Amino acid sequence: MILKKIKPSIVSVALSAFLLAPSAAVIAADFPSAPVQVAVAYGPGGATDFQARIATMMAGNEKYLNMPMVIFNKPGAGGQKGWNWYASSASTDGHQLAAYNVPHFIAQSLKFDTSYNINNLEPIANWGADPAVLIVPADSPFNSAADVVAWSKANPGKLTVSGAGLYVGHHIASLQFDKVANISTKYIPAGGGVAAMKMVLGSQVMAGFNNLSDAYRQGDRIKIIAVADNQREETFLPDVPTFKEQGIDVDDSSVNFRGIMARKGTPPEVIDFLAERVHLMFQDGKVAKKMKSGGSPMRIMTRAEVKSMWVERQAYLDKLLADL
Amino acid sequence: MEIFDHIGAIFSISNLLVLVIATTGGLILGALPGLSPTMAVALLIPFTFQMDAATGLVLLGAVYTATVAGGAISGILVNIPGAPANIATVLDGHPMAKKGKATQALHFCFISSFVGGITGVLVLIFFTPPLAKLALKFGPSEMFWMAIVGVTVIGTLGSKSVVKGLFSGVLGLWISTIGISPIFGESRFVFTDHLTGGVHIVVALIGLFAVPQIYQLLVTSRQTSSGGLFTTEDTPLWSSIKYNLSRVKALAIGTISGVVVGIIPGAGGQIAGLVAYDQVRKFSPDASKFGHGEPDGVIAAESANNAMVGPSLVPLLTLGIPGSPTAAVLLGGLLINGLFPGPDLFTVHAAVTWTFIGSLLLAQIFMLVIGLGLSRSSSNWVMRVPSQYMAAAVTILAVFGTYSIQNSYSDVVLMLVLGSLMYVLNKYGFSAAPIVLGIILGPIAEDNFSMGKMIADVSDGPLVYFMMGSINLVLIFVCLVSIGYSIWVEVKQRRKVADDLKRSMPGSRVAAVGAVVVSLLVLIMVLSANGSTAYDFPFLLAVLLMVFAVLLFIDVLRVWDRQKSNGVLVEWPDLGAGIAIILGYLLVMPTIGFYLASWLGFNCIVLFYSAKKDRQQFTKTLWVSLCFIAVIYLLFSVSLRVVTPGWW
Repeated sequence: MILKKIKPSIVSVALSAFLLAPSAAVIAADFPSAPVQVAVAYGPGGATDFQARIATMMAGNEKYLNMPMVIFNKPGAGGQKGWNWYASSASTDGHQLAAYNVPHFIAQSLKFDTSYNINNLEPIANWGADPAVLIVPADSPFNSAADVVAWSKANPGKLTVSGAGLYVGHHIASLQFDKVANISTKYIPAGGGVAAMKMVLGSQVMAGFNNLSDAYRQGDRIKIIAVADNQREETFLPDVPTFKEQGIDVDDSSVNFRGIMARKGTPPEVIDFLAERVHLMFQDGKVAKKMKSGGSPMRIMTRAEVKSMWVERQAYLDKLLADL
Repeated sequence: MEIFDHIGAIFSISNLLVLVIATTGGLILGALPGLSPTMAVALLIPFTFQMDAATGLVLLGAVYTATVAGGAISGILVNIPGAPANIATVLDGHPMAKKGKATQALHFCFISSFVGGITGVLVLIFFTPPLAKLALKFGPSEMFWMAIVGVTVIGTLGSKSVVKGLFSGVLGLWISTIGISPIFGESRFVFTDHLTGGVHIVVALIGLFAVPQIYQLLVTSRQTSSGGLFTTEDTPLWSSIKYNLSRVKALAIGTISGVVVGIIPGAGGQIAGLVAYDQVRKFSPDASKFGHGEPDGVIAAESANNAMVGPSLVPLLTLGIPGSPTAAVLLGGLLINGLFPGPDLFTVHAAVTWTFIGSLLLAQIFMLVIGLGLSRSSSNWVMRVPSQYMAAAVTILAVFGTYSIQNSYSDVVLMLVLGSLMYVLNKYGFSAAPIVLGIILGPIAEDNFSMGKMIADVSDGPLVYFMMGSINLVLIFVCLVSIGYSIWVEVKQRRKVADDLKRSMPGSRVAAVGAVVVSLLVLIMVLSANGSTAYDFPFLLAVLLMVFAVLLFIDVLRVWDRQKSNGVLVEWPDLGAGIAIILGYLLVMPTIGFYLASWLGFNCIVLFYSAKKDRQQFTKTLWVSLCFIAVIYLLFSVSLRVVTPGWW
């Protein structure tokens, strides 16, 4: 009788142990032995989150990782919270990766007291590049970068320019534009790309820097004046000239590069494996199709390419931000 | 109407099946603390990768609709709003439940949600183009005034006195300035690493509402042996419908407030319910009934937050500018199917778009039917759960819900600290709703003021920028009327209620002294900071806190010696063990993992707080906890693939 009463509790303990056991087994020799988690330092629904979910959707295929990649969001403080956590607390066995945004994380590491910098993170591969574009309201008198420069020279400090926030691509683009065109404009950090776009749509500001992908989706509700990159964007905006074509020496320093990175201390063979497979995975046709239908420009780069890009950006940002 | 050409597509077997599942699931998800509509939609987006465009959007739209309504269920039954949108519902919904009218409150909630929701979607269908134009007119100055209109609501929200309400509201505004400011790039009031990211609104919501409720449940389980939360009387559905539809004024105020707030991008449907609640109270002949179970409160709040859903899609569908945080996530769902907001949506992709909008209408009907069907059983069921079980379950859901918002352990710590403070504050007559509203409105007010000032400085100057323009003027007028009315009501009530009765409010001496201390602390923190422009807004708040604290103090001073000592308000002996168990649970979680820790925590709480401690009780607890944890595991880790604290 007593036995009967105890039995269920024994069963329940055993059952719970059984339920919990499989997820604990993360000690296999082969990598990856469990789903690979990818931390995104921005909230769900944002461009980085949205693209990361598409870029990693084929990971489960045996050609790539043979294990799914799981996106999880760790937003806060413009990305600082998530990246601080990643560079200080994430595991270094390759099962916890993170998405990066250049120039954001590099500029923040120069400007703030962060636990991350380009030396304690290892790039894996790059999937996308979203250049900043200069936009104006549809009924604006400005039609070219030269118009904007001319007006700004005549009215120093009066041109209001919205962007997503401080030390993000849009801010860098605005700083660079001011510097090379020798003008002074008023940058308004709007707390998000959408809010910055809204201010241009509603003519609350005279111009704005925003993501090429978001500007493209606005169609003729705004005018896109110039692309802050070294070449035109051929897929979505083949007709919009770059700043350089318009005689203003704004290069690709503000382009928002997105990709995946690992923590320093991850075994080299794991990094090499990831660098090869993830690079291949980004090239999958299904990924390309979804990215294209979402209006997200892709630029796939290898680990080596990203590595030198990071170093280059750091050197440039160091100089640009020192002047502030 | 174009919609009629496409409406047929909704009635396919697969779409209808998705609608039923999504609505039921949404109601349940919405009722869990922490799983806000935003989270639910975000978690489901990856599932839509595998579906065709229309079905995927039907799923997301239905979940959006149902979670907004579902958040009211936990609010009414357990006093914990499922999402910020449901705060106003709780103010009268839970008192109704306590009076035995839980079923009736739920009936009102779903009927009003239906009326508001349908109206909202109809507004979306018929008035999209002009409304989109209006939405764009809201620049920084208009958004600033909109936030101030919200602030004027604060004082009257559920507090025992207007001054206490205002103090709580300003405290909330100050809490919202913690963390790294997006406009100034400066970190403010970050004395521990837990605060770098600031206080997320849903973390505050769970802490401020769920934790005091957990403590209250633990105390109740000690003091009453029978265990149930409240009794419930059966209300025939027909009489609920009849009464609800006769409250035309409450329904109209709620629906109109919801529609208006929904259109304004960024204001967030989070405040729709609160604005409606405040309005219906102000228009009521007897405002003192509110907060004690007045059905109009529930009706206005719920019709407002569902009326917001349709209009919040107007700026989203036409301009790609989402009107609420959830609509922002929904944008991802549109893009992934190649549907770019704009005129194309209604021409090239008309079939998909109209199927989506039509399904929102249908989702309202499903929500009504399923919700009403669940009303009686869910309130009967919750009523029967002994309070120690409820406390254990809510603890685990609160911890898990908090963690999963930003995958942050710091948030769990913050949630518990804020909630424990709130439990004490509750005892002294302060309430959570104004604090949460303050946290919501803080960034809207501050960021827009700062941006507006930047623009104004290089154009016409702040005075012209903020005071001119028709929308600005209308909003300023609304602010003045709202403030004037509050003062008038306060004065009228003071005359009516005998002074001493009002002032001998328990613990008001302690409350006044505490308020002065808190405001001094904030002021010292602001003054000791480096004094850059980033501290202008916090300085203003510190001064306001001081003013309200002094007002409270003066009020108490006049009756200082006439006050009786009220004894101990906080039942520490009953709570001690519970708090210790919860702390232990959080401490072991990172090492032994979420599920094992939760299972142990559940058992400890229930066993410790059960009157009987025999073998039978032990076995029962083990089984209940096991089932509970298994359900959570299947729902979150298996089907939604949420990452859990401690990684497994």
